[in-house]
Order: sequence, then C-alpha cells, then structure tokens
Amino acid sequence: MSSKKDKGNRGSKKEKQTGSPTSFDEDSFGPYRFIHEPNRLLIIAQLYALEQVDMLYLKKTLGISWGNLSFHSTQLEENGYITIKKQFIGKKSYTLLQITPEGKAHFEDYKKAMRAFLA
Amino acid sequence: MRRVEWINSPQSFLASELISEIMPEPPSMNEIQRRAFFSTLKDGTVEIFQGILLFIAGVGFFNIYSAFLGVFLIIFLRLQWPRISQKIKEQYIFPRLGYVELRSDHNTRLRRYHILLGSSIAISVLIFFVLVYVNGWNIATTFRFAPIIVSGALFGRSLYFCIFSGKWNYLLLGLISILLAISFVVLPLPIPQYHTVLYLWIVAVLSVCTGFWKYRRFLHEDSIKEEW
Repeated sequence: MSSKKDKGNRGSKKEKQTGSPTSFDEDSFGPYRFIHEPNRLLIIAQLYALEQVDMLYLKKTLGISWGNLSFHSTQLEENGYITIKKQFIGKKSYTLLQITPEGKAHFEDYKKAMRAFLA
Repeated sequence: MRRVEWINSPQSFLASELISEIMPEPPSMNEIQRRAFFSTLKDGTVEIFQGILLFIAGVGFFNIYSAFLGVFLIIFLRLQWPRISQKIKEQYIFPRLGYVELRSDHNTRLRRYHILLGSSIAISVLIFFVLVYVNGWNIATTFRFAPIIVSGALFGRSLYFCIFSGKWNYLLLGLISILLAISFVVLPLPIPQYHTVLYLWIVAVLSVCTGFWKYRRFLHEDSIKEEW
C-alpha cells in the first residue's frame, strides 16, 4: 500500500472523512478511481468475500480473459491490495490470490463512498 | 473545497445512471460466497456418497449382524469423508473450476444447515411417533413407518440446498423421497423390514443416479482441455 501510484490515487485520511451520506465532495471519490475500474472491482469483490481464490476460479466466475485477469491482478498486487502466491494443492500448482488487510479496509471505504455517492 | 449537494439533483440521477452503466453487475458478497460454496458441490460426488450410505443403511436392516456391520461402515465412511472429498476435489474440481477457499464466517451457513436439517428430522420423528402410537407400537409398525424419518432428513437437506443455491432442482430429490416414503407406508408388503429396506435402496439408487448424472455433466461442461 505504499507505492507512489497508490499514494497519488488515494489522498489523505482527512479527505476521506469529508464525505457524508447526504453530500458528495467531487474530490472525495478520487482515492477510489483505481479500484473503481470494473475488472479490478470484480476481482477485489471476489477476494473480499472469499478467503483465497485461484486464478482459474476468477476467470471462470468473472468471465474475463487470461490477459485481463493477469494484468489487473498484477496491478492490484503492485498497489498492495492483494497478494499473489504459488502453492501446491495435492500434486498441482495453483496461483492463489488473497486480499490484504489494507485492501480490505480500502474496499470497505470504497463501499461507503459509493453508498454516499448514490444516496 | 467545493461541495455539491447531490440529493434530488439532476447530477445525482445522471451519476447513478453512469455508475450503473460502468458497473454491469453490482457484486453482492452473499452471492459470491453462495456461488463459491455451490461450485464445490457441482461434481455430484456428495449425491453418490449419500446413495452409498443409504444403501448400506438398507443392508443393515436385514438382521442383527448386518445391522452392526452397517452401523460400523456408515460411521467409518462418514469419518473418512472429509479426506475422500478433499482427494476428489484435488483430482476433479480444482483443475476444472479452480481452487476457492471460503471465509471462516461460512460456519454461519453451516449452522443454518444444521438448524434446518434438525427441524426437518424433528418434525418427521414426531409424525413417526404419532403414526406408530395410533397403529400400535410393535416391530412391524416401526419398520413400516421408519421411511418417514429418512425422508424428513433427505427433505431437510434438499430444502437447504434449494434455499441457499436458489435452484429448485435440489428440492426434487427431497420431494421424491417424501412421496416414496408415503407410498411405502401405504403399500402392503409381506415382511415388515421390506418397507424400510426397499425404500432406502430405491432412494439410494436415485441418489447415485443423480450423482453420476451431475458428474457426467460436470465433466462435459468443465473440461480441462478447453481451459488450457
């Protein structure tokens, strides 16, 4: 969660707190632009609801191409939202994705911001 | 910092329309968990295992020796099931559907399952006792009305899968098991054990057939070659 890209996207904590359910600050949505991209949002939502997920499961469930999935999951990993690791289950190797605590907290903030935005 | 009041403003409406365009399907957490849970049951091995257990239970009703053997086999297989299930998942499900691990709050769903199953069994046991009491308590009436308890358990399980998967076909096996139980209670058979044994075997065959049908469909729909 400490990369330059990330810091640029998110803004300060003070800015986040300015949004209320009855008003919308046009700058308050800025920190969530990165996560708001549809494919990234779908990936992070899956990882938020589940403990650990394999790339193949995400591809099947979300119906996105390998290229898209690989690109967006790498982006999410680089920005500290998720971790990607290779693990053997039985005799086969799987690429497992898991949301980080920071990614989880940020997704929760995003949900609140979206509710406020659409209220 | 400029603030914009969104409530009842045309911008608010426009923004929500835009968001709904950008987000094709709003992700629901419950739906995601539900899909992940039912993807692990897609291969039909649970139905096959249930059929085997019901068949063994039917064998157990022949005499006292088969009863002991039946109880031993059922307990042994039930205890081994998590290990067998994991091996099957590693061999068939994960390479086709991918690996998915549910969150620990999945236990809430399991608790709901036990409540539903327990209630269903309790109701069927109550009906069983009322019928046995009305018809006079003896070994013949016990065997005659025993299918009601099994059908109650099967119906509770089917109802759970139907409610939590949102698919009505899960309820079919439960309804068939209830109809069969009623038929075997009414049907005049020469030996009392036949009511229970035949009922269990027919439900077992139905369950195994359903399992194999699901398994075949699973292999056909989710082939490995297609993916890689």
